Amino acid sequence: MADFDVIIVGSGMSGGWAAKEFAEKGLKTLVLERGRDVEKGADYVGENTAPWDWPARDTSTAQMKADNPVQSQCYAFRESTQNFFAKDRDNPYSVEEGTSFSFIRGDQVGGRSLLWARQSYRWSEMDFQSNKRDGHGVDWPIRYKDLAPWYDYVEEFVGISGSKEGLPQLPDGKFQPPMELNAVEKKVRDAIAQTYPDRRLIIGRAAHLTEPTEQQLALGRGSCQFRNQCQRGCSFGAYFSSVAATLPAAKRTNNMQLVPDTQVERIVYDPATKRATGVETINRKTGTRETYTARVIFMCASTLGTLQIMLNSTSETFPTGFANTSDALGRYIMDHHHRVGARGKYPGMLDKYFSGRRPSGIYVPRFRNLESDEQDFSRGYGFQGGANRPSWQSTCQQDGFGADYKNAMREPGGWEVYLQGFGEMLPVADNRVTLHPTKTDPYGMAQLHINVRFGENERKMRLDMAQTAKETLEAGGCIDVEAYNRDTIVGLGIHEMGGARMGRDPLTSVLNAHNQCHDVENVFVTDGASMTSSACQNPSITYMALTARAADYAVTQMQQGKL
Amino acid sequence: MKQQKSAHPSRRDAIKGLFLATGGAASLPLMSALSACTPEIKQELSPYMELVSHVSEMILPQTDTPGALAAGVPAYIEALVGTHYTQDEREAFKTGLSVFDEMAHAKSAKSFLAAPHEVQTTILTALDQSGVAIWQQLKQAVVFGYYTSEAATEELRYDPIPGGYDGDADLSDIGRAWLTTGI
Repeated sequence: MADFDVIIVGSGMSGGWAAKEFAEKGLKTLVLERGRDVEKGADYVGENTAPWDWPARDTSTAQMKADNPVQSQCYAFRESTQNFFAKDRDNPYSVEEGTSFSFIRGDQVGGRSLLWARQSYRWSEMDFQSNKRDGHGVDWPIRYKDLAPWYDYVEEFVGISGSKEGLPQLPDGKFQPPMELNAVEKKVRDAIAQTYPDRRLIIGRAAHLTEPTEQQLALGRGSCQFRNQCQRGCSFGAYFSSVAATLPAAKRTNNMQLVPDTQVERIVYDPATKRATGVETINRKTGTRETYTARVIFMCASTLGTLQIMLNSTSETFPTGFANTSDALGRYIMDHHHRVGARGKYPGMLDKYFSGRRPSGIYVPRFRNLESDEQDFSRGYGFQGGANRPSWQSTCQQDGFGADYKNAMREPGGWEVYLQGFGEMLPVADNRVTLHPTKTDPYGMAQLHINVRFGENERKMRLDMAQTAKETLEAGGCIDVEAYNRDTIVGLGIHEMGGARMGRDPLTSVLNAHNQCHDVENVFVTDGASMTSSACQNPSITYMALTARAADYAVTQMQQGKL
Repeated sequence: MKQQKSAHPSRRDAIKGLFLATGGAASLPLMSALSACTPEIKQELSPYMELVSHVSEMILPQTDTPGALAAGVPAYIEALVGTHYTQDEREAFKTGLSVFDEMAHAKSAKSFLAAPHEVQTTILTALDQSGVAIWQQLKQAVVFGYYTSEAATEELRYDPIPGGYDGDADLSDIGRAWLTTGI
């Protein structure tokens, strides 16, 4: 008799959903989290602080950067947020010579759901067909219609603010009222439409409550307060995190046990039954090793976390990694490439300003290669951005000193508009992670060795991204527009995915259409590792929908005695 | 907005580039200041603090709102230089400050602090036009220290919990620039 019905490895974006679904359906659920416990509110140490409350005025100091050279590369890393980032010393990894990879990681209950940028865009039919269309990667075993009802389901619970636009490449969802475009964004939108009707400027779709439902209120969540300090944690629970939403929902069923500080080292495989029996763990505080058993295991440890565990779970049956007869495990790693786009000034409108700090921006959905590849690259990209009037951080750069100088900074700067591209990355077999043959993490587990690089398709796409960003802003009425295309590092998109891809063929993919291992029927992978292609949309809402769908399937199978 | 004319656009662009390259003032190495420095370093810096304090208040003086002194900017700069700077950077900072007295001597004053106010103003104007490193460094530190202080909530608009968003607000209703911009 197993200890639990289901073990869920990880408590973030995906793990929280698995926990909620299984616990609500009455199954005895164990959630294992490698990081420390986080209590909503009490552990949000940065919330409601001001710059002057911090020794370095809420910056990232040279010491902080020296201690965490990887995590400090994240735009959100600073004194008030660093408690939600992993410590680099706890998360060592190596990279192949000539490559670089920045592994930005959470290390706590809630994982990176506490840190994400909350942008939530459905994938479209085009995205699920893309591999088949151009031959890169294997065909997805599902289509949009398979996931659409699960997008509905998770969006209603999560709470996504957004506008319905009727775009086939970016399906509408179950939205709460959208946040507002500001006065200049509206002007730019209308002007772009005159020149490029296919380049739609819309308000970002973001996981913030703007009109909480009864269900959300019952979980102690409330409306967004427009502080835009989300990565410090939000006691209003206004942005979606597992800590604010899915884990409390699981907890109130009394069917879930959540064990923090517990790193899963390996999945235990029983060749006699051809099933996993449980997981071996190490307590990071005490060093105690324990084995937990369950009927079903859900891997939700984040893309690279899940892959590290699976690669480490070797056996006579699976000498190269768990459920890896396909040799696809660890391969086809993707991220999104960004740090390319344009910025410009918008003349006039100086009598207009904004109040409140909107925690989301604008979005320009993909407009390239929608029907077929018309460009010299495959796939496409979207733009994120916004219009803003800078304050003292920018206006201080003028000459002068004294009362005139100080008074001049009372006026906000002129309007500026920017677009940043997020581009799809092709799945390539050689973009892979393996275990380092000798190096281990502080808990004795083999480290990941990462060998991933952007390719020629991404390089070509970036040239187009810079060009179209510039011409789009110019069409929008901006002046002094400058395109940029900066070096970027794989991983800094913080959308790393793939490595245990879904597919139709057990010989070329790790997971089937239900995120279930082809080789081991009671182990599921529902985090980013399961992705077969990357699309160009921020992926979290898709992980959530896949997780809820897979959990529903697993429960049905368990009820029918098949699992 | 009110823009003062600059005879040195290239220098201004260079400073602007410095801000933009690092993603804004908040990530400038210079701004990565810290808690209190050791008594020894405090001692080491003390001969310079009167000058630093005086120039800070000249850069951001008291108006109908607090100036740099009331905002605690000198203490911020002392902590910044004393805790964050390497020994070499600290030496360079101290050496760099000698330019104030040198320029005062050239105008027949005993020191910058002893010079008449008009002479001090002339010197700062010249420094501001010249783009000399110590001036840029000091000016940035004063600005950052001031606008991240609590006193600055009297100078610019500050709203820790806005509660909503109005994207079509009239500037005249808000009055001044917002102090904080979020993540």
